[in-house]
Amino acid sequence: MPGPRRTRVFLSYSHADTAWLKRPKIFFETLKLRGVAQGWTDHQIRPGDHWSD
Amino acid sequence: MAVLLISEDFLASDFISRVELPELLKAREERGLVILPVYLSPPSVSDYPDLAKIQALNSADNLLCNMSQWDQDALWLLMSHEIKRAVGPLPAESARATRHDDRPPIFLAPAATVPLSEFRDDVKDYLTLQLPGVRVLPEASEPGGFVEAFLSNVRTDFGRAALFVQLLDINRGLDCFDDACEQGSVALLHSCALDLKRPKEILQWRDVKGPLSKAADSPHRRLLEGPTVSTSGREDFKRMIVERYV
Repeated sequence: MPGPRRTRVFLSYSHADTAWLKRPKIFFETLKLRGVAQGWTDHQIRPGDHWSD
Repeated sequence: MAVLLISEDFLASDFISRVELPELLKAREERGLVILPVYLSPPSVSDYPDLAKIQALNSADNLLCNMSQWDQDALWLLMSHEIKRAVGPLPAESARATRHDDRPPIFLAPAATVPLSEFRDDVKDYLTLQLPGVRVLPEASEPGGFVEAFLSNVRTDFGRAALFVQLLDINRGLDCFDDACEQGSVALLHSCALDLKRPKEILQWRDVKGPLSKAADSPHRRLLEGPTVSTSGREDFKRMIVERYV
C-alpha cells in the first residue's frame, strides 16, 4: 500500500501558551536541518475565525 | 504526526476544541495519524476520553509547567526521538517499489493548511492507485526554505508536469519561507504556473463549506473565485483529476 512519507509534524497549541514554544521550536529546527521532519503550526487560521459556521 | 501542547487554555480554545482537535482525532482514527500529547499544565482531559487515552510524552504528575529548564529540554529531546521513531528513516525498499514510468508527472501543490494536507495525502494516495507509475510532484511536499530555491525546483517540476492541481480553502494558510515574500506560497505557485504556461492544465479545488465572504484578503478571494476552481465534492474532484490527466 503506497503512502506519502509523513515528515510533517503539526504542532497544535493555544495562543495563550505561545511562550512555551520557544524551546521545542529549537528541537524542531534541528529535526528540519537533519531532514528528519518539519514542524509546522497553523496560526493563520487561528485568530478566532469561526469559518466552519 | 501531531504534537499537542495541552493546557486548560488549549482545551478552552473554541477553535481547537470544535475544529482542530476533532479533526486530528478523526485523522488518528481513520488514517493512523500519530498524536503525541505533551501536558503543560493540569487540564481537564477527562472531558476528552479520546484524548486522555493516548499515550503522552509526560504524565499528569510530571507537568511541563513544573519542570526545570533542564528537565524541559530533556522532554523536548524525548519528543525529537519520538518524532524520529514515528517518521522513521526513508524506507529504501518502498521507495524502490514504486516504479515510475515515462508519462508526464502531475504537480499536486503542497497544502497550506492542516485540513488540506490531509486531503492532499488522500488525493496523492488515490492518484498512486489510479495512475500507477505516474509520478506525483513535488517530491518534497512542504513549501519551505528560501523562496528562490523553492521556485527554482518548482519551475523544473512545472516543465515536466502535465497537470497542475491545487487544493484551496478560505484560509490563505501558512507560509514557512525563511525570507520575506509578499505573496503566499499558494498564490505564488498558481501565478508561476500561469506565467510559465506550464503545466498546460490547471485544476484547482476549494471546499464549499468555507464561505467566500470570510476569505482572508481580496487577492486570495480572487484566487478562490478563479475560473479553474472546482467546488465539487472531494471524491468527484479526485476522479476529475484522473479524467483530466488521461
